[in-house]
Amino acid sequence: MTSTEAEEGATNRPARSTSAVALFRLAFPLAGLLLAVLYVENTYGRIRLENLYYPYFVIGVLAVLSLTVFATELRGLADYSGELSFVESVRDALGEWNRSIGFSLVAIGYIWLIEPIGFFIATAIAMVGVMLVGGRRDPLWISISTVIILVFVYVMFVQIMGLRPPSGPLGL
Amino acid sequence: MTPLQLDLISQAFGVLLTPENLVFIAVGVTFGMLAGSIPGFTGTNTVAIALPFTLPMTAEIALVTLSAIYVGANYGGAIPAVLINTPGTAGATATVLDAYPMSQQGDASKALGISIFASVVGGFVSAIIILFLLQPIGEIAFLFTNREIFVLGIFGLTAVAVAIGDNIRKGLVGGFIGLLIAVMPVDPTTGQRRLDFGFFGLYDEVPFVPVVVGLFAISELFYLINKAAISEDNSINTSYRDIFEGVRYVISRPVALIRAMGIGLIIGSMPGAGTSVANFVSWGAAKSMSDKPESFGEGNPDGVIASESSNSAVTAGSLVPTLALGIPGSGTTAVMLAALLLHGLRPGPQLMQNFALEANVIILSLLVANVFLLISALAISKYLVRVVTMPANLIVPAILALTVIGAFAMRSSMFDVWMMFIFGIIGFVMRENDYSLIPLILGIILGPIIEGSFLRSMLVSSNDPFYFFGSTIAIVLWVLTVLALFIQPLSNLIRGVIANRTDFMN
Amino acid sequence: MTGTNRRQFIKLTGAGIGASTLAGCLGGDDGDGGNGGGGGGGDDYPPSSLTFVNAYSEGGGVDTNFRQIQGYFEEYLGANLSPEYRAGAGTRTAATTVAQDEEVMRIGGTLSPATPAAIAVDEVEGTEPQYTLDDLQPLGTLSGEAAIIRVREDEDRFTTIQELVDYSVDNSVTVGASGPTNRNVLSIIQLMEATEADFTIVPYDGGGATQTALLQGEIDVAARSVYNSASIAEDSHCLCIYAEENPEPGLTNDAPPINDELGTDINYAPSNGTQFYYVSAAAAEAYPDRFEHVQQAFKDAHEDEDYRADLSEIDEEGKLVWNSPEETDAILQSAYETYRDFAPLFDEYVQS
Repeated sequence: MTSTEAEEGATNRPARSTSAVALFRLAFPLAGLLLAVLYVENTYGRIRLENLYYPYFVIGVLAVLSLTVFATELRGLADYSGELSFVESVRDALGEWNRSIGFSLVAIGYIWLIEPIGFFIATAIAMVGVMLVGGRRDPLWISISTVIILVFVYVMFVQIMGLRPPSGPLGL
Repeated sequence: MTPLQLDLISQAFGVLLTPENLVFIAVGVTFGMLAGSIPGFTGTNTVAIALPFTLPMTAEIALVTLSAIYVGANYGGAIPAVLINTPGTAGATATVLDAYPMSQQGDASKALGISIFASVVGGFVSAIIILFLLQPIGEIAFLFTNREIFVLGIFGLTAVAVAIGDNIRKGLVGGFIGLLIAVMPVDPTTGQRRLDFGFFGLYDEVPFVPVVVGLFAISELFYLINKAAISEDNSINTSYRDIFEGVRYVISRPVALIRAMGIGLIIGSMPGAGTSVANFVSWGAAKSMSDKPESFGEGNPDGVIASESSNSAVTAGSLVPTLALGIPGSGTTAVMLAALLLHGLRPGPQLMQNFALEANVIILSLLVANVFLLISALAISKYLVRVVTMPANLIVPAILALTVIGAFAMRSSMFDVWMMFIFGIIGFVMRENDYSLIPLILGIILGPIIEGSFLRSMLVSSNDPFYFFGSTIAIVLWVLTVLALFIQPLSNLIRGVIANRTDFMN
Repeated sequence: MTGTNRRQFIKLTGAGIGASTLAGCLGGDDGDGGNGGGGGGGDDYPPSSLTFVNAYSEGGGVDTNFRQIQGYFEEYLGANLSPEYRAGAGTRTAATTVAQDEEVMRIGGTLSPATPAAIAVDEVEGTEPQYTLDDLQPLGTLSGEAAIIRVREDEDRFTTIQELVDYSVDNSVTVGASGPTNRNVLSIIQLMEATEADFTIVPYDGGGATQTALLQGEIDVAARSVYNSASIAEDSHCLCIYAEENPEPGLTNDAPPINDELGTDINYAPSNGTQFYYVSAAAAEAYPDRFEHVQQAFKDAHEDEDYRADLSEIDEEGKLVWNSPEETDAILQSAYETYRDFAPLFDEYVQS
């Protein structure tokens, strides 16, 4: 769907271990099945079975479909030979996606900080953090764009639309 | 069309076309467009925010202003969809699929031009249609009970699943995980909590706006942070010439426009059918009927027409049950009905009889608002396009901040912000493993509609499965569902046979 | 619990609510005159804007009622009220949001029995409630509306409530209501408990959807309330009302009280919907002057003649019901207790 520099760079990298590739490829259907298991564990016996026919039908079909996807993916991996160990593969992936991971960490910190320190202060910190992760270093650009976004958000959301994002001890 | 109706329409025009009203329409469209372009900020939010400002106005001006905001907000969702892979509203989700690849390929101006004109034409023509055919369309919409809504939901899911088609098994896994997520909140007919992990944010429903914004916008940021800019073409042309090229392209595709409008109008008219589904169904239909289905999702302009024209038609369509039956066709029209009540007009099934002038003013205001939308959207589009050439490390933090406040704004809930981020990660994993995002979203949007209408139908029919085949509309929809399942494989088969024979003969 | 026990219980538990509601309607002047607009409670209160936390979504009944009183309330309050929609989780989200306020900056608007019922349901289901009634300090009630039963205008199988009950004994009758555990469902359960009536309850996603289903012929009967079903008054026929007297004969075909028609003694209070406003109890205790100011402003707005004239213009003045904070508290307490004991009935009639 999207071609990235990271993907382009990946073509020259050594092949990752089969287990690491399999884990990543199966992550989505595995997450779905995990959710299904939690669903059954949480509802079976607590809610009358006749009220669970529909969700259990969905889970049943999902399980069958997931198995076919597992089979296809694993068959695809049968001829695959990894060059790196599992740990090296994880390290390699971290290297390939270092900016994305840096962005994720800043975003998680940002969302986590919004309630304790207030939306506007957290946003200012996050914007600076993401720009640094993205490779921007000039303080002038960083300052100007941070201020522009904060002013826009304040005018549009707080002044015009009357929204009240979480405010911290400083009331911002 | 009786002389009385024509007289009413001309009276309504007289009420509408005053300098004061035109100013309010212009302001309303611009405000709506700006608010709608913020990811996560829905048309309902925007109209509700504007409601207090309209209370001191006369009923007609208030309704005209709210309609203009509705039209503006509906289109506004397309702007970030085209430029930054982020549907501003759920109705613009399918717009992303082709418009953003176009922007990445350096065709942002054309994509924006297509989205504007397809949206305006879709909204304008649909408004004309409901102006003359409101009552008959309303009467057909009135025949859609839970039984028909259930079959319509199945049809929508099937049509899109088949259209996605690239990897049907992966698509179905995504769709069924979406359906599973949709059954986490309370049972709609017993009120029992199921799997909400104790979060109130998941109690009644899975909020799909943070889901959509997360899957598309946040997942895109993981890629974008590694790039120089959104567009791979740094010498991108931001002139009006390219924007008007998009307009010309739309004019050259009348069939695609009419098909998309029809789908939007029909789904928008059904109370309870889930208006945000129309753009997917329209996109799926356009792909299925295309000579080059494989180019959809890769930057096919017809995909943008399909989505934008249909979601504008939904705006007009959702007024059908609102005006003809007094039933809100969408969250936004529910607020407009409340506005009617606050101005002393009690909406109900008799609304068209009791307040025919006001109803006609509302419909006509859609026409005028679309004209203003065309002017204002084209005017700013040249400047908006420049977003795609701006450095990614400036764009990414701005998008992050706007999506966070947008996700928060809908329910003033930090839970929704976390939801958005988690679905961003899920979206990234899905994209990396070639899972289409659309089935997952459709499962989450259509899941509650399908489950609720299925359970209610079972209750009213005393668990009779044949009840689902008990009306002409339901049977027609079942037939369409079967056709959707088999028509594309059949068509591929026939094409393959013809191609083989041609090769053989050559 | 046996049927007989349930019937006795319904009579007993409802009595508390009935008494307190009646008391609320009759009395309740606990203030000391209007404030006239602005002026705080001894500090810089109120700020320019306070938040109105709506427990329901945009365009709903609580929103509409709030918009109608908003201007008057703001005038007496001396501050703007900025609406915030915290719909969902059976009003739990909104109640929790208001309960966490520490400085009387948020005013909540919600419905009884929905909000007290949510606490009761959580307790019965073994879920730890995120708030209790002790966390909420009512300002008073805004409006109230009795439950009613509507059928289509052209319905000829039953034209009275007695005929409906009789018909349901041998025939399948579906009754729609907005949501599976709300007060309108409760009103139907009460009817089934008090008579031989046998209905299939079909919960819908809101009152509008229920009414549409009635007019479409998908269901036979709609369990609604007086004002929130006014939009279909012309297309439907009201069979009975759950009140001692019918306050709106024009909107309800002059429907008789259900007990008068059936000779039953159904308690009306549990199904009576009351809109009330409230603040955080902790904040009210910490800032009694602020609470008094907000409460007085609400009361003054409620009594404002222009406000009442506005409602009178759209034939809605009858919905206004005033109860003092103490009386409102008693209504909530009673609703909570009622729902705690009603849980098994929902299990029997809705979840089975």
